[in-house]
Amino acid sequence: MFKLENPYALRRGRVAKVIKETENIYTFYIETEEQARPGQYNMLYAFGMGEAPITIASMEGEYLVHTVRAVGDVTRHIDELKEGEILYYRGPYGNTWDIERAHKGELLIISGGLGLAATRWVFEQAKTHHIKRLIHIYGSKDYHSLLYRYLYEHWHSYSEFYITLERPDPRWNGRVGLVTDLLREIELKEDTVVFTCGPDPMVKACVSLLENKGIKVYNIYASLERHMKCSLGTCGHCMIGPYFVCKDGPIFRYDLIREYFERKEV
Amino acid sequence: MEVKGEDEGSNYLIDLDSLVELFGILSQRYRVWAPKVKDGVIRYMPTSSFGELALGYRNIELPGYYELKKEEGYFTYTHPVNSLKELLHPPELPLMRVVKQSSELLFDYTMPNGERLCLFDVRACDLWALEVLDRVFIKNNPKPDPYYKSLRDNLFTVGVNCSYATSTCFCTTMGTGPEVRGGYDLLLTELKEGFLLQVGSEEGREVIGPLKKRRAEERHLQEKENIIKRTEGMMQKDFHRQEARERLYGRMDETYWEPVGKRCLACTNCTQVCPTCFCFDMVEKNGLSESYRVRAWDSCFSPSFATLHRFNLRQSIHSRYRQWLMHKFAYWVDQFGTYGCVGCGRCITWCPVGIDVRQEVRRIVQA
Amino acid sequence: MKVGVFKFSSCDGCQLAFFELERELLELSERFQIEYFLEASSENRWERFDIAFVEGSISTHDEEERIVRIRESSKYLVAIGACAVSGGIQSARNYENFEELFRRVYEKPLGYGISRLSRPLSDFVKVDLEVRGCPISKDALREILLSHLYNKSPNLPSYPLCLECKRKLNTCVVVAHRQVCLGPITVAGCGALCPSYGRGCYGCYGPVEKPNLEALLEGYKGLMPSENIKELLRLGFNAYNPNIRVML
Repeated sequence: MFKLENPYALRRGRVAKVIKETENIYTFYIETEEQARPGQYNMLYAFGMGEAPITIASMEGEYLVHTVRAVGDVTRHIDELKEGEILYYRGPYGNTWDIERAHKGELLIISGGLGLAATRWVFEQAKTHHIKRLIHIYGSKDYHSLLYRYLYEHWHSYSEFYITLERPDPRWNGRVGLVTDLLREIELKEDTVVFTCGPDPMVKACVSLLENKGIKVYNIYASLERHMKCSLGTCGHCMIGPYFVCKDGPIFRYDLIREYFERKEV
Repeated sequence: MEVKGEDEGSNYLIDLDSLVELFGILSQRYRVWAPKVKDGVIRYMPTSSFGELALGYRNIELPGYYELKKEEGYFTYTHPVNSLKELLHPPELPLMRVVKQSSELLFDYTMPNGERLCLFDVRACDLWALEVLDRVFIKNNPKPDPYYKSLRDNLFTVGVNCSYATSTCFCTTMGTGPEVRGGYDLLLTELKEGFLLQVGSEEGREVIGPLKKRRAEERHLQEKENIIKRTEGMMQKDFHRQEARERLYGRMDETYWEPVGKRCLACTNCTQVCPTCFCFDMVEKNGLSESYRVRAWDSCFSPSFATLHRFNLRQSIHSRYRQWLMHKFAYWVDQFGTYGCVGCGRCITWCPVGIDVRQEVRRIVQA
Repeated sequence: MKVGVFKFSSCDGCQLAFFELERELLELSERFQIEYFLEASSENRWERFDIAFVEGSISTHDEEERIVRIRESSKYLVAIGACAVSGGIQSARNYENFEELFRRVYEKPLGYGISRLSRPLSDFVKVDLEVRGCPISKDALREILLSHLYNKSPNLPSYPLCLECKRKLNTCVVVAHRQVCLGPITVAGCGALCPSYGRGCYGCYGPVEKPNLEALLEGYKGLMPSENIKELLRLGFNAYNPNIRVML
């Protein structure tokens, strides 16, 4: 008999900085000693509400960056946290983007909505990787919902970074249309590696378009979102086919999950 | 499955008096759970004396049907209606108590009580289920569950070989029984002359030390084999499990599942009585200034199970049935290297409308 | 927080859940001021309510007006119990010839306008939360009150009774005792009260979201003819629940 570490135990992290992204989305910088990798997530806890899996948007020094949209009880309460207050969480969980696959090649990142939080860190890391061409397409529903506006200039400096809004806005003179419309226009090499995170229908549509462009399905990686209660592969809620999104994912090589992901009600 | 060690010097024959004595020894060393008759069914319950056991009862089980009769003999029934899941993965288990003190939270993680527990009379299917749960929570889990482990480490099992199978038993199909082949501390087989007692662990050997017993002879072991063969003969081979599994992956289209979706109530009973269905929900039980995080049995048939942003991805009942059956007979092998089904048949007996999972596997695979 | 407790056509049973909270109610009363509760107090003030708990179905013309006034005075309106949520046992009349039934029951016309139908609150006003049960459980009531303190949505079950029944380690009364039990298509929340005492659930919490009644009728044929089970539902507490209505 030996004592096991309790995987449900929560840690405390002081909120060092809060950035308001949109009306209901906030970014938190949390003091941490943990080591994480791009694509992983933490379970964030709110007293009396429960937990929610939230992607690690980045690590800046000893700060963990989480971007949280208030959609349920847990996230609504986390979004009320102020500087100096404590966030209780556990993690990191899940796998990481396989950036080595794009070594010396082309990497395309496609992000939809809050999916940008899941690709942001690997996109930042791509800067220092040996990648020949780095493209990032970010689709947002409208002008209000744009995230990380303060980073765009920097992102433009090292990549082809495109933004498209679904709805036009008088303050926006950039592109309007769907992610797929933009994707259609971009010339891509057949061995381009693709990382994507966004709403399920967007991911499906992009994959089918990418295939038409000759891109191999096994070079496409998608980060999925599913209901999670434990993050440890035991509660069963996040299963998609034989996979537990919480521990086998959240990032999957698309050819492995396609059968389950594209099918209704799996 | 891991066999705890069985050698020639481990086979004994005991009489009824010694069996009673054995039960007494166990009751002194452990809190004993054993099959008892309650509400017209045989159920594992805390048991303090040999006389309380369900000995001499026979469970008659059909899809959606259960009754008890009397029968000549002792271990004349099969497994109880509940399983060891109830002990190791309790229906509601508090994982932590959280107390709010001004803006700080205090966490109290109390492990379930470490009392030594003996499960008396466990059949082959359920011992397999124990192995399956071990893999889910500990052995094949990169983050082993300390709550499960603290209960598991305190478990002592007395296996019993089945001399009878009900119409809903299909352990032979799933390759888990009827012979108990490991995972036990002690093993009993009811013979004409008495009870064959076999030792599966050091702890088991220690327990039976003071017991009045004699060495079993070749004919006793032969009789055990015959009994197992006879029990095997009471069951049909319903399908070839590897073949079924391979074919199921090609049967995801809803047309295969709609017929059973029409019959299924999505009531969750099959998953709750299943000895291996492990899915759970995390429930916050709140007071004014404290909150318990409770792990509670859940089910893939529940209407909120696969909810993403308040929308359940599995709206139709047939898609929930598909998730359950595919998990049991296919996905589980990818995940844990064993089938999720041990062939105990509880889901068949306890389905209120008598859906027979064996028939569904056959229908879908043969379609 | 200001609370009002109201009743319409009903038996008052759901309001008793407040008293069942006993000591807890006193603890909670530091945070909630019960301003209006005819069954509990002789001092009642009708001002603005943060939460209005409303029991009973709407079955007279007068009630139709009063529920609108309550809605206008309340931030958050909770329908408590089968009457308020589905129309209650009195909605059995909704399936009968009203005039004939009325003549059979009353010798002369009543002094107030009785409606043809006994209907749920949601037919008349926006309802923020529906709490099932006949009567509701004190656990649900506690959860709603605490949820207001925690500023969260109340966590009330949507899963079938069977899940709750098995968590309580009950033996299935359908299989073991050949009882007709509506548990498989009924929402949990009562703590599986009836099956815990060896009898079948008669559905007082009302149907789950998409009850597979056809399958239940087919599967229970050996226990009871389908027509009789439908009759049970028609005479039940949730006879007029939209999910039951469409199937009868």
